Amino acid sequence: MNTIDSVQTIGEAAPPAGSPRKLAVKVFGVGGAGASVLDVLRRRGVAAESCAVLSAETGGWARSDGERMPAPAAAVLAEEQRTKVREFCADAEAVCLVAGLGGRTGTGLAPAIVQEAKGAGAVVLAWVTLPLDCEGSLRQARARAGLEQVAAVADGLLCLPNQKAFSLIGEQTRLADTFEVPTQLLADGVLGLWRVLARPARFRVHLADLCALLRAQADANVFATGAAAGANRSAEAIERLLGHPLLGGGDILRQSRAVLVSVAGGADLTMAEVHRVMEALQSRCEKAHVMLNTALDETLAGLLEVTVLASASPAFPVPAAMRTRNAPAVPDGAEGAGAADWSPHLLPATLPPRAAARLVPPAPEMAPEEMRQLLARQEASGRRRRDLPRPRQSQLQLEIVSKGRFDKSEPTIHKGEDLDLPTYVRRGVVLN
Amino acid sequence: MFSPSFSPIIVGLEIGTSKVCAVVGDLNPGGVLNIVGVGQARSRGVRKGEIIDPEIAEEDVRNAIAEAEQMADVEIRSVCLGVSGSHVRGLNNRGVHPVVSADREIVEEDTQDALRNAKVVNMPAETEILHAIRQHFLVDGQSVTNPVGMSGGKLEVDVHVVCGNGHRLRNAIRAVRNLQLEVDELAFNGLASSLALLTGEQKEMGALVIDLGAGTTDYAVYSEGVIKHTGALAVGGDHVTNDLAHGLKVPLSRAEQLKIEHGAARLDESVKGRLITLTNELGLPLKTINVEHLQRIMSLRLQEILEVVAEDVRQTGLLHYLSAGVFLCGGGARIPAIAQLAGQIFPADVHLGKANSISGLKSALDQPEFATAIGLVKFRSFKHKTHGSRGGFLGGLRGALEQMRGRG
Repeated sequence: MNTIDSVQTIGEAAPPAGSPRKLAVKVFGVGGAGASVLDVLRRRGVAAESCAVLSAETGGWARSDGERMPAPAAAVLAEEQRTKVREFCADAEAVCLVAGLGGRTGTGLAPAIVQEAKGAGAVVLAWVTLPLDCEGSLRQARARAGLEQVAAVADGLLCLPNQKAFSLIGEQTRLADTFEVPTQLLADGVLGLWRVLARPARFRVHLADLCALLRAQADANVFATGAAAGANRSAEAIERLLGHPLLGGGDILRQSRAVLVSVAGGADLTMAEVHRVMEALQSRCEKAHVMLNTALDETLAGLLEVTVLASASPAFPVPAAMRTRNAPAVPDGAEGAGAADWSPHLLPATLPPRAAARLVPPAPEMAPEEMRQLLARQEASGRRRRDLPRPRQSQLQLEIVSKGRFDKSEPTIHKGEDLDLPTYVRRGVVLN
Repeated sequence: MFSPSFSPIIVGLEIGTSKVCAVVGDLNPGGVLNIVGVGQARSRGVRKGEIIDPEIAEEDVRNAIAEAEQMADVEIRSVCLGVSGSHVRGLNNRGVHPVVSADREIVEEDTQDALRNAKVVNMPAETEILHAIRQHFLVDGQSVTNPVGMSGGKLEVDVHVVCGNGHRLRNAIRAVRNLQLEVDELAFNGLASSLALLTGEQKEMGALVIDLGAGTTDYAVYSEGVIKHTGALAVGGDHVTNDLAHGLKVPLSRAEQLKIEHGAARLDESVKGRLITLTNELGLPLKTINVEHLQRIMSLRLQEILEVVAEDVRQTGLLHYLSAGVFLCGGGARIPAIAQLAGQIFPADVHLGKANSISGLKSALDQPEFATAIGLVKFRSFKHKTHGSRGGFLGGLRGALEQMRGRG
């Protein structure tokens, strides 16, 4: 019998100090897997008040006197829990949801929580694990269904099939410790993303770009991390990163269309190191749009940590319509910059002055909640299509260009370009 | 035979991507090299400078050698073989040797030890050294040309090392050996071309030689009289043809023909709007080609090749020290306006290279395609000269024996 605890806000710590540009990010764990990942994150410096967990099990850390809710018969959120989720997410710009799919709690509740968090105005990036192959087909099927549900509602999705981490589970690993490895991998990834969003940065990737990167088919996105210390830490971190089981020996990077590289370190992080990391990675993902983010985190003093989020989704749109609360809106003409704010009370002020034409019907009477939903719908559908930027030259590669005489020979790669392809094709010269 | 006795013949063989070329040189007792024969055959078994079909390649080599034998009226027993390909690269290395003798006088053995140390390069297992060319010696940090007889504590030597993948180098050797020909020596094509083209003065002033071949673009940089940098890019005239075939939607053979007849390295304003009608064998029109497109595709590719070379040379810091200029050879040097295009990319004068530093058949020396094979002959002739200069009875005997072996 499941007993689903209420949403708990753990601990009371001072809000972290840092640059004003960083975002308010919260991490939400669902189910047993979510609880253990959050446990790791808590130990590794994520502020307690930005973590919450909703779990049927006892979880990994000492609980304060949280309310205990009787478990709902089906995996649905009770109204009280909905309110709590929404309250927790209310002041967050981005929410990382961590869930293990395949079981009851995570699979059943994750989509609903994503919806609640989005309803509260946050951008939701979901991190999920899929069960091991040996866990049986029922769990697999349930996990797949859950994955699709989460993918349909979340702004971004990253998925760790536990089977891929299986190779790291040694012969001597006891059954009880089986999930240590995937938990660590997932925690590394979430922490990397958390640093991207919540830590002061010199090179910052826009949340909209991040969502565009991670919004894709269920399993097109991968993440990997590598960290090292010492004099040669940039090279070692890259080496560890490339050995990450999710990267498949670098093949994944080569096939990726968009890659976010986050280099995190303490105050001693140097530009030369960032440059070396980028150089090494850029040569390995030739087809991809590469984005750089650097995060400064005082807990990483002496360490250099590289996190890569890669998407193999064939087209990487850069939607102009994606906005966050304090990030500057991408100027897109008609609506102006004011529409960046999602909060309903600001909406009237941001609407453009309406022309006094008789043919234009007056704005319908709507509750603020309805208005917001309507706006969200419009943002999601029409505008994005209209605002799609003109495809960049490099996307021409989607057209299959035969290498003719050099089809079977060893490719001549120079600075990531395949010189066997005609120069005029690579340079995008149009012959009419 | 009318050639004077005791003049060994030297054969340079280049198995190129578009042609196999054998050049026969005659080294007379005065040490003057004379080109007496040239043979060439169309190459079909080579891509990007490396053999992909040994059987066909052997046949082509046989044809070229036969032609050269006939022209020079000699029997070829051994060749100096030119190699290239994307696996060949050049790097500079330094060897250190402490002078141990009591009076700290540097002897010949010390220089040999220093050179041996310089050849130890940290490389993947299958990589083998093609050349280790001495640049200069340093005695206690002071640069000298010949340290023998000087005294000092530490002898260092800078060398330029050209290395390549051993397996891929042996493929070329095997093809030649299968024809019952001996391979005297291997040499990098880019180095050979530079030997044919440059005079000592030009090497002193600083020069860059670019061999624009069909499969590879090989280059060598000289400064202060010594070789400073070499490189091979596995992109060449074949790529131009392939681009044209792709862009103009014509077969490769037709693209090759269009390249030769209408190609140019720069877009010529006068061809704007000019059309060529391709006809089939019956004279019926097949397709219309816009010459402007042809030249644009071609100039983009050639520009890219030269830019890659320029970038590589820039990284060595020698790009602005090419006082003697840039010398172009290989089939690509025949492309109209290639010198002007190179002039835009390199901050130096651009010349079409001619094998000036050798005497012999004028018709062969003036052709840019033969530069590599001529350079191979010259490269090999250095060895003969050093052997010959030993002199004395024993040296003479050895020379005579060698010649007997060489001429059969």
